[in-house]
Amino acid sequence: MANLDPKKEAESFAKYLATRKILIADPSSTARSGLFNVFRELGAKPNLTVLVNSFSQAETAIASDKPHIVVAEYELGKRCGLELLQKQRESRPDESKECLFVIVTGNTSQTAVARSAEEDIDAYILKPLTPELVRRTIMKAALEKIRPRAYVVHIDEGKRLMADGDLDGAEAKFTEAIPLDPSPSLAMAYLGQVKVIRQALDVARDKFQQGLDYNRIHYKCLVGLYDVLMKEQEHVAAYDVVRKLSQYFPANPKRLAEVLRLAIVIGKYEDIEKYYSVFTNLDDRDETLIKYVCAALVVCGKYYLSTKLGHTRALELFRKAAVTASGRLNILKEIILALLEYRLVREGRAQGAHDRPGARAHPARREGPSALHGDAAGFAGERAQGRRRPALFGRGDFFSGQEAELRRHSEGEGRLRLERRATGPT
Amino acid sequence: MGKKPQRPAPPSAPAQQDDELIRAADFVSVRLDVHFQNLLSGSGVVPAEQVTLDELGDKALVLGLPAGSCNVSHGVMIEIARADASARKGAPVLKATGKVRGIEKLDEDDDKRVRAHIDLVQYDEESWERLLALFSGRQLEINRFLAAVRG
Repeated sequence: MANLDPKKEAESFAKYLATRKILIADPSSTARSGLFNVFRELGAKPNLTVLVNSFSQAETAIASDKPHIVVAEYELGKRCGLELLQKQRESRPDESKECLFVIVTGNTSQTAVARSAEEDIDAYILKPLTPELVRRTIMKAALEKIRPRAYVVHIDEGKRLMADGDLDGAEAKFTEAIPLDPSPSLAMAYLGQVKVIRQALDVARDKFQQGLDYNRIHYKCLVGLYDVLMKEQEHVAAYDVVRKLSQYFPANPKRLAEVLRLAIVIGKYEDIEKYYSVFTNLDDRDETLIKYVCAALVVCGKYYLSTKLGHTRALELFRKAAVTASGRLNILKEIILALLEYRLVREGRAQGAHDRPGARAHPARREGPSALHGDAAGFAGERAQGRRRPALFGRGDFFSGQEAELRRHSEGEGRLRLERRATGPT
Repeated sequence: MGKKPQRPAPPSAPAQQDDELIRAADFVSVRLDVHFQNLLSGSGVVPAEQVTLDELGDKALVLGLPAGSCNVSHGVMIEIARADASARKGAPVLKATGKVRGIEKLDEDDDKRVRAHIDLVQYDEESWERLLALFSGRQLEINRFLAAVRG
């Protein structure tokens, strides 16, 4: 941002704000009022400022009013204010450079901050507010957009050229940007992306790594490096990167699922249990994540059974999977069958009996424990006759590769030995 | 030709041990309970769920309150305590008396709540500074983290 006299900065900002539509979304009426006061003092026009108290009202206002500036509480009832960012971008697809998205919240947790950072918001302001801090933060964010630095101008131009397919031009712009910033990780990240498009994965990897040398938590460099390593099937190195991503950006359900898959691929079974503890802290657990967590616990448990060192540990993992499964019968069947396979009949019966219709009420599930016992017996019978039992995971599922390995060794040798072979994500 | 940019200090990432995958503390937010009592009217303590700490100022604060809780010049008592898992629940943060400098009705058509601007009168200076530092320190960390992540 070009250095301006503070008075001139304030004037520029007031001029910018005077014509901008603003949406303030917060369940607290007093918080909305306080923010409205701050923006009014900064130069916003009251008739261009809309106040709403819920996510749905905010969605409607974004669709109808297309605000340039959205100020949202992170906790908007049952929804997250962060979700409004995408809606704002969709409402003004060609003007994202002039729009601001600000979170103002009492949520100080690192998970909320990291999730917001991943979405590339413009500012994250804590409550209780300090009006002067709000003014300075909003003004700084806006001036960075109204009067971007030379570094940002070069990056934006490079991005535009990349989007137009002019890779040479884009690469030149990103390269020109490097000396314009003391820590040009963003330029390196985009150079890496150009190299990826050009299929020069080794060079791309170097660029992302150079970006991380400047700044070890640069998000685009971390994600770029991870993607390249996965393309190169360097799973051990990819796992290190995704672990760092999880450390700095915890509680992203999609990433947790990726971490679980990689942990299984490279045999980091002890980490599965640590990630399970993360899972139990998450507020939003979508179906995919539940499936992956259960699958990871079951595969992990089977591995421990196969080593004959960790029966107790295996049983604990199966218990956790059963609890997490919450009545999902395919998971429970796999657990029971694994226990029967290793002649842990008492445990297998206990697991089946535990899942009574009353304890795991699920509207879609009508089978009870007797059906489970019957199925388990039926499956055991099928196996005795040499018929294969259905796999836990569908064809093409990432884990099915690992499962197939487990089964081949089990049937071939009578003793399980897991080969850590990369099968690649689905 | 300008000065060669200097290598910056390492960005403010949360400190992590090498084998620490996830920190439970990352999932916890600071939460405060604010108890308010109007000393003049002698009315009871306003329940914490009806009081919000909206702003911190220069030895002053702004509380969101039910309308009618207080009026200008009233003496009030405020107790702020921690309500989150990362601190001992109920651990006191600030106990203070104050005077209501102004009552702000909301611009929205809301007769049920007001913003009370309160100047602190009797309070522990250290406790006040700790309260300010709790949020200003965290805000600084957040600003640095966002800058480092975006690059």
